[in-house]
Amino acid sequence: MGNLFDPSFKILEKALDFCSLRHDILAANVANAETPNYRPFDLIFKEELKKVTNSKDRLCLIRTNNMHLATSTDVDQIKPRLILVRPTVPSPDGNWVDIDYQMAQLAENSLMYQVMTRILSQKFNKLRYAINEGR
Amino acid sequence: MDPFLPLRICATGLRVQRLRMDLIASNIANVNTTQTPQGGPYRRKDLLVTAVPAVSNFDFSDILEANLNNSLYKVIPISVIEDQRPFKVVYQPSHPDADKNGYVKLPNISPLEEMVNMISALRAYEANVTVINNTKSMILKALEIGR
Repeated sequence: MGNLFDPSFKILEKALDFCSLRHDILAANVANAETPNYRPFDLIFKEELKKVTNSKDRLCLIRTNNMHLATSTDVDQIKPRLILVRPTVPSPDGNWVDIDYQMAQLAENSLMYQVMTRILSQKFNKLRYAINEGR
Repeated sequence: MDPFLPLRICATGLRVQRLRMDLIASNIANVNTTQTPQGGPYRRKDLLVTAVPAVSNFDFSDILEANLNNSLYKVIPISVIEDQRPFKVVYQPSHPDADKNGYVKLPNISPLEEMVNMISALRAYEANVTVINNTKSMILKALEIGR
């Protein structure tokens, strides 16, 4: 232990930031569903997160020797990546937005946001429980 | 396991039904069209779709999951096909596109058939929306476990 707030707090914080940013981008895509020649964008986070967490669902590096420095995941280096969403069906006005796909992504994103806020509040509840000596 | 996979699969279903509706609109609008840029009367258009695996990168760590991933398909449109059924031929000598015997070739569209297809596309769209809404409810219900 050692730290009151373990690294997952930081990751959750980062992921919440990402979700709200992604919501902005998806909202822009939906708003421009009828704009000729509009190109929809999306944010990618999972792949970047995987790189940092070593793809083994691990948040901290393992210390095999006590002389090793304690390292936590460098969450700050995770940067969401902006990608262009390619259309599956070409549209005559050059608009690449697939409204149904965008709406599904929007639903997924808002659910993901709720999941993470719930996890975060559960973590805070546990801390509060400990602070109140189990009352 | 990705809990959001049904959302993405149904989004492809929604798109396909929307495209079908576009083509039905085109067919109904052109029910009497005798001239097209390609020449000849308008031909009824339909959508050809195919199922492709919804999960592309398989992780075979879990046999059940691998089996499941192999049986999950999303739907993608491949192409617009033209109905090869014969044109309707109507005797109408006053029509500018009539041949020398007075017969006009009209599109091979049956408004009844298009109406039925339209209802089917609408219902299929609704079904996909229902799946999406139920998936959302399931995820939100899962969040209430242990509250």
